[in-house]
Amino acid sequence: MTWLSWRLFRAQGYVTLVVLACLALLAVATGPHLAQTYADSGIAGCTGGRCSDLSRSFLADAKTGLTGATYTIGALAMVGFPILAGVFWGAPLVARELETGTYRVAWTQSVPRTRWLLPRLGLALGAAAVAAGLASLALTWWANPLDAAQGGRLQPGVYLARGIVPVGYALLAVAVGALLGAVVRRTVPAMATTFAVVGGLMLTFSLWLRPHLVPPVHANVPLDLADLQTFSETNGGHMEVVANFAQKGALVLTNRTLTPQGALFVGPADPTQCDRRLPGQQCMDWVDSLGLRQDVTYQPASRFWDLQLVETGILVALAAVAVGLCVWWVRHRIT
Amino acid sequence: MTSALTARGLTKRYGRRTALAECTLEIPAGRVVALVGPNGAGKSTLLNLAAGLIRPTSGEIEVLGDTPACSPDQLARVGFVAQDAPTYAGLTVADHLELGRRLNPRWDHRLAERRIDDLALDPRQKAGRLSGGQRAQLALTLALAKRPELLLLDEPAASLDPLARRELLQGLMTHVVDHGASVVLSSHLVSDLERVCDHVVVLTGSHVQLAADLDEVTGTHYRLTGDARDLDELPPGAELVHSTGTDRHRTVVVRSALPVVGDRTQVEPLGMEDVVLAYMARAASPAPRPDSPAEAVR
Repeated sequence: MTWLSWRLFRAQGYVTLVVLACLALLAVATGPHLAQTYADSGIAGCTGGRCSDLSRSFLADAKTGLTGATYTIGALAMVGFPILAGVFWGAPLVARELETGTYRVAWTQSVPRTRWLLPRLGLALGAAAVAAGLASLALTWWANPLDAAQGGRLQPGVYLARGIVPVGYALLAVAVGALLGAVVRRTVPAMATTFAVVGGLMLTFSLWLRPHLVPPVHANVPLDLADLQTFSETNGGHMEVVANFAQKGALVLTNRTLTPQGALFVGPADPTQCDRRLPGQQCMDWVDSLGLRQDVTYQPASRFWDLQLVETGILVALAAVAVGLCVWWVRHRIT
Repeated sequence: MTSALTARGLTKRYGRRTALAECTLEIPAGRVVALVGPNGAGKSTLLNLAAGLIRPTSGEIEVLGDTPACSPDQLARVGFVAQDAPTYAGLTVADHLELGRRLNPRWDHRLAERRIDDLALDPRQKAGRLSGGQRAQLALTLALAKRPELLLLDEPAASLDPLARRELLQGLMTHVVDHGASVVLSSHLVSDLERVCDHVVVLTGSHVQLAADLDEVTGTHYRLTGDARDLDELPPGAELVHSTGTDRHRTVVVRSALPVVGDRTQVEPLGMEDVVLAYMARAASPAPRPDSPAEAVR
């Protein structure tokens, strides 16, 4: 079965190798220059407020030209690869056999279905994991200066393209694709469902699940008005004041401004201090005098690997379930 | 000697659609069996059940004394050429032989290569670019070189032109003569099978209308033509198969172990095709038959 699995996968395998090689070439061409620019920028040893200025100018500089293109292509490729692997490797694996009737050739040789399916699925899973792993390794190395300047890798677009989660998503996508292919039995609808399901899982994890995979950290600090996110006052005196969270690279879950008593601060604004006819700074000073607190729950940037490990574990477990279901379905439902 | 195939109350339903209902039959081993019947009679379903690709909803089926596809060994003993002879379009002819070699313990590579050579197929040709006849031959080669004890062929010749059809069946027969194997081949083209088979099973509406050796079939069926009054009473020992005609003039097909002689009626012995058609016509006619619950589902 190893031979047949490889023979049927060969063309796709070669295409993937070529694409990987192109990406690697791009990374090698731009990587050393990027690392040098970072070293010269002085971000590594900076202190205080100078840091953000240095980072900003380094990032603005780095995200142009070929380096910028590599960054964008890398991010897209890493997010797109699991979906593509699910759609083009997973979904047709069983569906195409059923659709073209070749399953009647494959399953009437002297090899039971399970021993036909597992090598084929194993090869697709292995190839997807290796490709995703290598690409992620290369990109994680290449983007290291950029990630350092940005202070963290927890933003979804970055997080999904670094570390080991790409491997988890690639495995899950291929397994889900194969399962859907067996259930749907038609290649193109199976591909479309796989696209929707894998894309949906990525979104669900990024938007809702990831921040809660590890219990978030809670912080209650004096409100710092120097770096504001929102400062508004409506006619009724209702106020909304939210400051940015000072910790660099943190993934913020909730960010509220509380009164010293612990209630949510909503005003009312003091009409003698905050008025459109008075200078804005007067209102600001008044708010500053209230002793407001910033109440934040967040995942610190240092949690990157914890989150990656937990998420990848969940993805691999889900992939194993999908593989099990796929085997069961092929054995017991395609009859 | 175990039979090639035994079915008892074999039923396959897809949701509400019944593809095969309560089919009971026995196909002897060591024969070339023609499984004939109209489209939708359940021939394909029966063969797919026998190949282990599908499982019965109820009832039992045994192939060479064992459950179909129950083990690698059982799979190795049965060769199957599915309807329309599916092949991997992207794989070459040589790839298909390699597939067979790697997936079958009893694979006869020399036989496979010789057949491909005899057929003048280019081993480097992709299966997707072969003609229908060449594809059918490739699929048959794959099944033959597996050296099965039982070969199941589902409408192997249906989509082929007459010449390709004859070549395919000739190739099959040559193999059977040389290597010996039981064969069950289904078809609705009765004329094809007459030349190759030695046992015939007529299946209509899931029901076995006739199952007998070919010489028995051709030696025991007669067509009687004549005045309706003379045919009211059949010759002694004769069993009515099918009757057509008007109140005055009738044509009757009978089965009789004894030779039938007519005095006022015209009597002619029937060949396989006519016999099969008579049984199929009987099954299709609206006349009530007590033994046909399957009629209701069609």
